Amino acid sequence: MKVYEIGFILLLFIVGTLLWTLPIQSDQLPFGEGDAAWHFANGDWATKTDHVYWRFPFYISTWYYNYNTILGPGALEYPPPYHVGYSIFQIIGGQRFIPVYILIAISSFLAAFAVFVLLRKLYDFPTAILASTAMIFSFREIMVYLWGQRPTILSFAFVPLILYSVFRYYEGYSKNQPKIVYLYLTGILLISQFLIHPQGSMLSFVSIIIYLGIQSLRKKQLPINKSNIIHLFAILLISILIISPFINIYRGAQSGVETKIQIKDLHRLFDWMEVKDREGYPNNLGGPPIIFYEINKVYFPFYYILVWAGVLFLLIRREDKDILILSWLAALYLLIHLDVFGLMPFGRLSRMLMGETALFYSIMAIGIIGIPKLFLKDKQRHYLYVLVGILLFGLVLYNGQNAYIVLNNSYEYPLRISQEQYDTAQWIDNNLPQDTYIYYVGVLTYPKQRFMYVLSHRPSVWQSDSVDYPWINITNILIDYSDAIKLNNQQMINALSNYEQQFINAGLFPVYNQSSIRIYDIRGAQFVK
Amino acid sequence: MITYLGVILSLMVVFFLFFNIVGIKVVLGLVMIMVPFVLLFNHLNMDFDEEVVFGIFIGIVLFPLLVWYLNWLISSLRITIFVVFFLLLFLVFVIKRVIPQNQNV
Repeated sequence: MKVYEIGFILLLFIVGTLLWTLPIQSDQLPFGEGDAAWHFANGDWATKTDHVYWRFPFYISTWYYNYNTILGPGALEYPPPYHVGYSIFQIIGGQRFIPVYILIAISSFLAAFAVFVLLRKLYDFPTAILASTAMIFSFREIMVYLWGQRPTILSFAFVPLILYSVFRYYEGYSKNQPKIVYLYLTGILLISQFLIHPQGSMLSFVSIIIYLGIQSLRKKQLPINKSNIIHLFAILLISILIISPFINIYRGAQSGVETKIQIKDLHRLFDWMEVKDREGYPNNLGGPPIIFYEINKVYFPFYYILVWAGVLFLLIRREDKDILILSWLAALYLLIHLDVFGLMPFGRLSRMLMGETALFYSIMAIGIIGIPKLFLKDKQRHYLYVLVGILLFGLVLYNGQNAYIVLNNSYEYPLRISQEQYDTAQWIDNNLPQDTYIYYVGVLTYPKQRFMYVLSHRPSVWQSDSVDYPWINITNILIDYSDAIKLNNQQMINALSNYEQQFINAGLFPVYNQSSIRIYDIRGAQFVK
Repeated sequence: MITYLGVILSLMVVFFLFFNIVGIKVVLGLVMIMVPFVLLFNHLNMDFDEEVVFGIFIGIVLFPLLVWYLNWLISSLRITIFVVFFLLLFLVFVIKRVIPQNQNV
């Protein structure tokens, strides 16, 4: 590999890290929606106890399903590697938030590097530069990273690398020069992807099936023969050994959404991902918010012309590597239309779009570089670098600037917990008994309350949550004036003060009373929600 | 080897400038989870980009997975992390002895 290519990878990594960690550079307290807090809790508990676990502590287990139909109550809801990674970085980094958030940022833009390897090896350096740079600024990945569904992003990042491995193996195999190492790599990458999140594995698996199916027909050669079957069995055995302890985590999870096999909305087969006719549009689509689907923001205006040009180029040329990319496209098309056959609810299926950006940027880059190449003589190839330079400038100016603005301004106070709230969470962790169950009033948003919940290692409910569950036994009330004071919201301050009066009237004294946050122990007393 | 040291040092400098000493520790953490796999792929004659990218993707999952398993045998998670690192290095050393370099695998 040439020095300037290594330099590019290094530069991309540094730019990616500095860009994606902007939210933690300006404020070192954790950020994200409820899911982000939940994932953080998983690793944070192992660090605190200096041990991994198979059953959740009570405060995490009551968060989502609370019951796995096969493994019973308190079972893990994801295989452990992703969250143990948080613990490892907390321990090695010697700090609770920054090391984890750097890891999260890096693992969220890793797709750029998978795309780089795929396109650099199968196409050329200019194609790889374009697509991987675009991935660093990918708005959809940035949004999901900020919200908190981070294992899903990482799982989809594996797809281009798995496809590259499969291609390398099959390329050698079809020429009677099999490179078995790529067969093993494919297997190990598929297992790794599955252990992070199963949705990415579905895309990889279907893409591989389609690719090998098409290639077998084209070359009239099955992808299995006597020489490789023993290795396939070995990979299967390794997979079963690694995956089997965790498979019931997924099998027994209660998603709360049931699917019924039926054909409906057949017209959807002629759309890529139209959401305007969906129930709940535009406010509640049963999955991510509407901005997740607004493709002009995810890419750039008229991006689809480049996608179509790339697809046509691939269809016309149809080299082996082109078939690989087209198989990836066909697999994603199939998977994002599973709801037409009632095989997956839309809310879950919509996350498949996280497999779209790497694919579309790859197709666009292949078309942008591949089409002019048809008309340029060898001596004129340097014009391609001029084209790449212009396009990179455009990418940085449009997508890069947008990415910077979003990341630099995300989760600023009051949308992120304050130092005062974090100090309170730590006090709870150090001073209140394990059977504490806290009712929070006054904390401005649900995600902030969720972060106080996980940072204090005590179960709790927010003011808008239902308390009508058998496992909820409120022992303490936390009244937080801090957000209302900082926002100068006198109405909210008065409401909190009136609410607190019931405890003062009952003769209770706060067990914690620091600046503008108070905690009452109400065991044995009545309280009004 | 010089390339790798150059890359690691560059990252340490940049991470130190933005995250202080924690940044350097994070780079060391990344190196720790990747190095055994990168060494293995290097032995299998892969290119720099393949070694690094396969190393990070596999390291980010298999390293914690091994930590999770071994932590049931070793009482401390902190100690387990270092045990896994040296165990993986040892495994790579064994594999290097079993599979000679330049063999077409």
